[in-house]
Parts: sequence; C-alpha cells; structure tokens
Amino acid sequence: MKILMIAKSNIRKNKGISVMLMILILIATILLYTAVSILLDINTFVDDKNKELNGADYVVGLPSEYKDAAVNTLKELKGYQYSELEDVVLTSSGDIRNVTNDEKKQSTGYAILNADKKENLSKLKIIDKGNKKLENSIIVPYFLKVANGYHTGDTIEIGIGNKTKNYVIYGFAEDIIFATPTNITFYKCYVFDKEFNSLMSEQKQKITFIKAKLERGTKTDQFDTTFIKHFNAQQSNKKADLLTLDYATMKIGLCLFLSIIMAILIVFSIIIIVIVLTVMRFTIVSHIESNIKNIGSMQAMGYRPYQLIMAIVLQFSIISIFGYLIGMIMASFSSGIVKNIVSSSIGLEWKSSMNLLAALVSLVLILALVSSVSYFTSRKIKMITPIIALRNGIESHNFKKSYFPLDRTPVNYNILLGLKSFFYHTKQNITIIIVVLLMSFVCIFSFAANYNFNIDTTAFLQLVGMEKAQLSVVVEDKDASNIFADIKQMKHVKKTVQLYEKNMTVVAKKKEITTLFKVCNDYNKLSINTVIKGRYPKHDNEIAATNLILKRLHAKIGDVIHVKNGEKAVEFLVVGVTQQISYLGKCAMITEEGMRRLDTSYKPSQIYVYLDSSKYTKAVSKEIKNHYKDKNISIDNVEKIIDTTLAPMQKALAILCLVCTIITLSIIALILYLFIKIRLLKERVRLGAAKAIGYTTRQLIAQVVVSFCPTCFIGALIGAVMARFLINPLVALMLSTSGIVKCHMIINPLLLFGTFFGISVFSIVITALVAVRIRKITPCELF
Amino acid sequence: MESILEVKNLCKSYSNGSVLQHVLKNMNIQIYKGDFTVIMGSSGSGKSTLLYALSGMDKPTVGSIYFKDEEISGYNNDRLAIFRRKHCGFVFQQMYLNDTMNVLDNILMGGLLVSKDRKQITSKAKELLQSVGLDETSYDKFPSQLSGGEAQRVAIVRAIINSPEIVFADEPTGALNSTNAVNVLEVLTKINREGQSIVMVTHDIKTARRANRILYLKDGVIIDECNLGQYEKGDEERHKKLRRFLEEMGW
Repeated sequence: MKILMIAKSNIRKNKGISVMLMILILIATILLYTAVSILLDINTFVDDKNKELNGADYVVGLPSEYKDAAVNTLKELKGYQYSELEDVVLTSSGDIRNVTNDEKKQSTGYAILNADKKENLSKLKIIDKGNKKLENSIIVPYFLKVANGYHTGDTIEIGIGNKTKNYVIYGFAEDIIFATPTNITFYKCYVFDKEFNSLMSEQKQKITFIKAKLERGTKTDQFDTTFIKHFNAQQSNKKADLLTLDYATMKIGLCLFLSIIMAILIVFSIIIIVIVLTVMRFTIVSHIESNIKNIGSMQAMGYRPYQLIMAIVLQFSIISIFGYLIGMIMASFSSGIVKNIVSSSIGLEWKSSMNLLAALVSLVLILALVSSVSYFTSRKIKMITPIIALRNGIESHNFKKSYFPLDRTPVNYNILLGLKSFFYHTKQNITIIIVVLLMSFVCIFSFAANYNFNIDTTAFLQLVGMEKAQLSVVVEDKDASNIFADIKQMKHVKKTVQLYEKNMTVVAKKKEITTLFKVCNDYNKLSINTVIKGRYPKHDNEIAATNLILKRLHAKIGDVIHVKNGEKAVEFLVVGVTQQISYLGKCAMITEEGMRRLDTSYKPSQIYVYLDSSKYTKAVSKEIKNHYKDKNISIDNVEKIIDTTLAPMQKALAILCLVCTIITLSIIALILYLFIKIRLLKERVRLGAAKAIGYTTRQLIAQVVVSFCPTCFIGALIGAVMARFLINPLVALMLSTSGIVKCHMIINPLLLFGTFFGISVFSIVITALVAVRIRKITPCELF
Repeated sequence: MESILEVKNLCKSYSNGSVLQHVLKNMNIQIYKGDFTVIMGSSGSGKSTLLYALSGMDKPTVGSIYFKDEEISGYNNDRLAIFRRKHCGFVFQQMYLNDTMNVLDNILMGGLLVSKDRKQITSKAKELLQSVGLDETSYDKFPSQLSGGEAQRVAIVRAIINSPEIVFADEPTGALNSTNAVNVLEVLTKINREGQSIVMVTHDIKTARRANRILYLKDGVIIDECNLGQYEKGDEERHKKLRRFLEEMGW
C-alpha cells in the first residue's frame, strides 16, 4: 500500500510526463496489437474463407479441347479429390473503368464466368447484392469495392478485345485465388446466362477452368509441378497453354504484402516503445536528482531503497497498464479502419475479432520492457544514503567548462546564451535526439516506401521482377518473327525485347524445383535489372537464377544445374544471381538459344515494346491492331497493368505514410512540449531573473528555440543519414524469406533533405509556440 | 535635489478570488539621484510590491510612475524590459546567478544587453570585479564554486555593469553570514559614494543604517521617513537616530 501511495504521488507530481507516456503507450498498443493480431489471424482467416466458399485448391485454365486430358491427368495424381469444369471467357488484355465514379481506365485481364451456373467449388456468394437483376448486370471482385470504391448499381465500362461494353454492378464476390490483381492480373467477374452465352459465342478459342479439390495436407505447389510435368509428358506433340493457379502459392502472395505492412507497423510500434523507454529513463533520472532530499528523508523515516525502487517500477507499470487498456479500447473502436485497410490489401472481407494472444503478447512486451527499464534505471537509489541525500545530494551538475564564452565568441549573445543552454542539458538533448532521429527515420521510411510504390516504381518492379515497357504484344502466329520485326520499325518505337515466360523445372543434386523461366533475346535491353551478382545469361548454356533457387539447390555462380522441360533435361552454367518476389522467388533466366536446347520448336511469341514516350502508347497500340487485324494478336498496356497490380499496395502505403507522418509529428510535438515545459518550470527563476535584468520575452523565446533546435537538427540529420543507409537493408531483411538480398529503393536526396528540413522547421515552430509560456513568467516571482 | 523616480497616487491591488487586497494605497514619493534609500516595514506592509512598481517589474493598478519626467507606468512588458536594462540594476537576496555560466559570462549576460562593444564591456566587467575584491582567478569560476558573499558581489557587478541610474536591491544580505554581509554592504556603500542611486528593501537595521534615507511602510502607506545623512563608519549618533526612528514606527 505504501509503495502504491508513493507511486500515485509520483504520477501526480509528473502529470505531464505521465500523460505523454500513456499516450505513447496507447499508440504503441494500437499498432502492436493490430499488427500482431492480423499476422496471427491472417492465415486462419484465408483458410476459413476458402472453406466458407469451398474454394478450389487448384485451378487450371486451358483450351477446352484439352479439358478431358487434363482431368484424366489430375485423376492420376496423388492428393486429387474431385473437380468441376466451368467455361470461362478469358482475356489477358482488357480494361475497366467505373463510369459512375468517372474513374481512369485500368488495364487488366478478365475471367468472366456464368453466375447462373450453380457451382459447388469456389461458390459464388454475392456481397451487397442489388435489388434488380438486369441483362447487363455484372458481379465484380470484392477488391474493387474496398480498394477502388465501387458500389452496387455503379455503371462500369469493360473493354474486351476490340469491344467496349457497359455493365451495371449487381454485387461483389470474393475468391482467394483471384482476390487481388497483385497475385494475378485477372478480375474474376460473373455475368448472367444470356450475357455469358453472348460473350462465349464471340470467343475464338473456348477456355475451360478446371477447379480441383485436393486432399487435406496436399502441398498444392508441389501438386502443380507434378501436374504440369505429367500433362506435358502426355501431350508430347501438341502444345497447350496452361494457366495453373494453386491455393498455397496464391495465399502466400495474397498475405505477403499485408505481412510486410504489419511488420512495418510492429517495427514502428517498437520504435515508439523505445521512445517511451528513453523518456521514462530520463524522467526517472531527473526525478531522482530533483527529489534527492525527499528520497533521503524517506530513507531516514525507514523506507528501504528497494521499496522506493519498486514504487518507481509500479508508477510506470500503472501508466503502462492504463495506456495499454485505453489503447486496446481504441484498437477495438478503430477496427473499422483496420478492416478497410486489410480488406483492400487482400480483396477479402476481413472480419476482426478480439485476439487474446495478440493482446497478451502486446501487454507482456510493453510491461516487461517498461518494468525492467524502470527497475534498472531506478537502481541508482541504492547508492543514495540518507546522509548523502539530505546534505548535498549526488552532484549531478558539474559545470567545469564554459561553452561559447561571451567575451570571446563573436556571435549574437542571444544565440550564444541559447547554445550554452543547449550544451548544459546533455541528458535531455540525448533523449530528444533519440526520439527525433527515430521519428525522422520512420517518416523517411514511410515516405520512401510511398515514393517507390506510388511515384517511381522501378525499385519495386526490380523486387517483383516485372519488366517496365509501354506495350506487351503476344502473337500466336507462324509469322510472329516478321510481325515483331515490323513493330520494331514503327514510328515512336525506341526498342523491342522478346521476353517470354514458362514454367520448367531446375534440378541439382537430386532436388527439383518448379521455376518460372524468363526467356529473352537480349537481357541488356531490359529496363529493369534484377541481377545482384554476376551477369545475365549471354550464351545458350548459361543461366541466371534467383538467390532462393540457388540456395535451395546449394548451387553458386560457376556451378552446373539441370533444367527440365517435360522429360528433356539440359545442363546450364550458373552465371548470375537474380532476385525477385514473383512466383515466390523461384525464377530463372535463360537465352532464346538456351530455350531452343530445351524445346527445339520454340519460337518467340511475345515482345515488349518501348516507346519514345508513354504518350504514344495508345497510338502505337492502335496502329498495331489496325495493321494486323487478321492476326491473332493481343496487346497489353504494361504501364496500366503495373498500375493495376500496384493499386492495393499503393493505397495501403499511402495510408501508412499518412499515419506515420501524423504520428511522427505528434510525437515530436508532444516530446518538445513536455521537455520545454519541464525546462521552463525548472528554469522559472533563471528566466525571471533574466527578465528582471532586461531580457524581453521575445529574446528569451529565441534563446529557448536556439537551445532546442540543435537537438532537433541533429536528431533529424542522424535519422536522415540512418534512413539513407539502413532502409534498403531493412527492406531486404523483411523480404529475405522471398529470397531478396538487396533492395534498391530510391531514397531521394530531396526526400531526405525535405524530411530533415520539415522536421527542423516543425520543431522550431513547436518550440517557439510552447516557449510563448515564458510570457507568463514575471520577475516579480523572484521576490 | 534631482529626482529620478517619482510616484504619484500609486495604488496596487491584487485580487485573490473574490477578495480584493489593496497592498499600496495612494502613495506619493520621490527617489533622488545619488541617494541610498532604504524601504523598511513589517512583513506584508508592501515593501516588495513598492520595489516591483518602482523598478518597472510590475504595473500599478492606479497612479503613475515617472522616471526623469518620463511616465513608465503605461509601458508594455517589452518596453519595461528595455527600460530596466538601460536604467536599472538588480541585486536579489538569492543572487539568481545562472549556475551554468561562469562569473564573467554572468556579468556579460547583462552587459551585452546594452553594450555592443564586447571588448569594452568585458574590460569594464573585469574592472568592476576587481573593484569589489574579486580577482581574475574568479572569472572562470561557476556560481557553485563561489562563497555566498562572492556570489552576491558578482550579482552587484552584474547589476551595475550597464551603469544604471538606479540599483534596486532586495534584502541583499538576507542569505549571507555576517562577514559576507558586511563585505557586500561595503560594496554597496562604495558604489553609492561614487554616485550610484540605490533603493534597497531590508529588515536588518545594520543594513539599513548604510542608507541616507529611510522610508517606513505600514499597511501600504509610507507613514514616515528618516534622513540620516552620509554614512560614516562608527557614527554612533546616526545609529541611535535610526534606532529611535524605528522604535517610533513600532519596529
């Protein structure tokens, strides 16, 4: 009870700091609990959602004439349970625009299904179902509702091939595999019978989806490898283009970005906890110094040092518990915002509930850190005996050096007095520097992430492994080579690169990994460089593979690995290490000549077209279409596809950036407010004396500003330097499970300078505003 | 005699919740150039309040204060601060030296407010320090390294560094032992002899007898004053006169 009384009295004495620490713990709790609970829940949530929709574990999209053969192959495989077939209107190049919202066009692929066909697998469950079903009603992915703000009843314009059609949204549907365009740039939509049949009749090639349910415990990614291998082996003479999608891979892809965001939030909350601990440490040290006589008299009364230490531990534990509890209440109130962020990131309707484990983890982490730091800091009390305390106290200020002597330093005396004050508050300065540098780092990190996802996406594309050109042209024709040569000569075409992707298997030391292969005629022409060591393949026997693949194969540059296409295996020499997240980091690159060693009939069917400027995209695309009307050509606007793919992340990052900036500025303002308030309170007499001898309020405010600003400048500068050198390694570390070793996020010097400048100016303004309290100090108080 | 401060119909009231307390009541006084004026009175008589008002640290509720025919009672806080730096010096009971600055900086902190010539003001500070018995070994000392008397002498130098027309001292010996108190009073007497006007509040008769004019306050009104003439060491008559005056006042 006695300890509790002392703790309560300490809290009352330090109301300002107590409230500030509580606010910081509250913010840390909201972030930590939210992030931990999402990380803990996300896997179960996706699995439960898949169960609810009876989602397919494996989807194969292929020309309808191969469907029987594919089903037969599936049936032969271990782990297969049952499957359903569904006709689909599949197009990889199209666009969508919400007419009601006057939205800009997005480029995307479509998988349009029949809503009237009752399916057991990947059931259609309509969210926000409209009242009236029209002929042109359409059900679109739930992602479009949460990320793009589509509503039931909105009119949308869909471009498929050369036609543009208007539809009215009847509702939204969820699907794990087609949840967001980040995983696969297809929107899975449903139209009703009549419209579906009309669309199907316009298709040159009929496509079927085979949706398979696998036995529990079957590894769907391995199942995919086995299926492709068996199916290709059985179709030795004919070639069928397969689109295969497996649940495990898509789920990882779906959760990856959200996991990164949550990891950032955890890091951010830990940074706030570090700030709490730093401020707390400063508070305890100041408390001991300024209350040394009280401590001495209490010891003289019979209090043991241990009791006084425990009172301090209890004081901060009470603050933490209150902060935590309010944080938890606010976290539950903010679940709507969280739901929106998560839902727009994963394209599924997130249902959050209280996660006791996350609540416990947050509480234990915060309490353990707060109590241990408060205990270790307050142990200083043990050294204080009643006699030392009551006589002199521990000499904490030992002024021996006179910084900036006024008689010898030819600088304005107000600046000098401010600087002197700055040099005599080392402990306070260190605390503020730590806080400002951490917040400046966080701020730059969030801005840099936002810049690299929203403005210059090169670094992101390097991580993902996407090529950035204006157009991608796929030609299914014997004459493809001539068409490509013609396109290369077209007006405004700067260059073209033949780039093709195919799933094959790499083998080394008896290990086999299904890998996404890129086949290119000239890697040096690519605009996105993913090589981190060595070089791109130049010769037919060379291969570059991701770090993840090489690690799994225990291979390195100079080693020989085998690549299998069907039953044919060919040796390749590893010449380079690349990195990319797509296909979960399992990617490799070979030349076209190399590909011909695996498939003698290989002919390039896809090129990337780079134009003088993006403003010619539409014109060149139109020209190609008009020129090759009779050919089977599909053209994609690559930049728009990238925009569509990045959209979910861009929104989440923009919100994250905003949240980080607001929290950063709030914390800096709070810390400065508190520390200035404490200093003004402690120096009330000195300031009164200064006023008495003739210093004006403005001069004293200026001195306070000068004394606080160096700490903010130094903190912001160190934060900016740390950000410059640590952000990329930190991002690489966060993505290391996807095989990312190096990250090349652009950290614009302007951003570094801007943040440094912004925080500095903000600090000056806040300091000046808080220091206005000096006005209330009068010299009369001295008498 | 030339008046440097004149107070006309000065009233000062403080409100404490619903209670209005009249501390100074319709006061009229003049402070003369070169005088060593002491304000005495019992606790709560309004001595400090009068000192605030005279020195421009506080504004009167009613009435006017003139500094050499210039009314300062209407000044805003910043103008008052500028007035104080140019014309006034202050010596406090608790010294209020800045403990993060050495002796020289503490003095220059006041000096640089008025003088732009850093060299000239530094050499003046050093001269004054010498004159109050502090040699150059004290320049770099911090207040915590000084005795009470030394610290108060530094405070006096800080008060007079800008050659103010008037020095206000509030119980300058109140926190000192008798030896240090005498040393400080010697300094104040010395500067007064050199022409410095001083207004001092004190409770102590030994301190008060250094003055040539005593104002006695009771319940916010100056009830009487006593002129002692120039202080001479060992002048017993002067001391008796003061004692009689104070006894009459009910001291």
